[in-house]
Amino acid sequence: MPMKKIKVAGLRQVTNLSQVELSSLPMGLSQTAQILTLLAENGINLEFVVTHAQADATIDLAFGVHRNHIAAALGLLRGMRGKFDLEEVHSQDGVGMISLFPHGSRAAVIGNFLSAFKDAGIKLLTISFSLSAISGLLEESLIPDALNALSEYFELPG
Amino acid sequence: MAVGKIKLHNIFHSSGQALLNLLLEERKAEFLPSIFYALREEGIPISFIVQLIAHNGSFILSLTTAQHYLNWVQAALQEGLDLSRSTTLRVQDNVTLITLYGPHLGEIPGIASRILSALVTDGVEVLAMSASLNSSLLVIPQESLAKSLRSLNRICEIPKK
Repeated sequence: MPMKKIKVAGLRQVTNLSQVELSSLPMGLSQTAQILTLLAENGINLEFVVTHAQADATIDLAFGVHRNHIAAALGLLRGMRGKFDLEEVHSQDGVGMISLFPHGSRAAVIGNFLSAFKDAGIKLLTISFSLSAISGLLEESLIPDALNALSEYFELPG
Repeated sequence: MAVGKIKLHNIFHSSGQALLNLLLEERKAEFLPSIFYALREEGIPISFIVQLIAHNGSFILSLTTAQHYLNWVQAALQEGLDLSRSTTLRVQDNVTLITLYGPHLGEIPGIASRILSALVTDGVEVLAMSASLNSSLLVIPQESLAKSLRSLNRICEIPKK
């Protein structure tokens, strides 16, 4: 059942991102913290970070960096694969992030957000949540289509 | 080089939450919107959600809701996604959601690493995390709340106005 449009206070889009995914990190997060510290010490800013605990007591970590930092980030991580016991380092270039700053009910916002992407046939690579926004990572070339689809479910500013 | 404390606007925490972790086939994700509409109709809040499509195509979802809505949300996911018994839907009761409302993550390097390092050093298990824009959301076991706040206060400060 389509919901009525939800007013949003703002919309932010970021382009020129790459997503990095590290799976099956040991539980306990010390390696995750060390990995993030390694990136920070080398001046690599993260646009978002998502962690998720798996049923087999391991952790998946995904984060986004600006495209001009991806070579350095991958070089650092691949150089430390032995130390961090990383199975694989996966990355995807050419991604962007759309963030909506909604008011009101979170469940309805999530429902509309997912519906818009579903209608447009766009795969959401990652969703992250913040205090005031819901953000979705997608192929950068699909951002115009995503914005069109979102406008059917949200009253976008401007 | 001495590193200053991270200046935050505030730290919030909400206990009495349950964390649900779900691993499912990507094609089933199309049923999620109707599940969230149903939650909205029932007035059930979702305080945290992260989703990740892994490189191998598996669809991973973590969300938190108030503990007293757990059975409802669990049933909605189970039925709405037609989950088989082999599908992994894990529940962790009695968790706390901590929200750090502060500087923009993309503008100051190392915020997420400092937060995680402080918690790990003090033996806090972070069950899920989402950090983007100007906030970092952490899901921790409820019994670790006091310890977590001590850790976070060691590296963060809320400047007096």
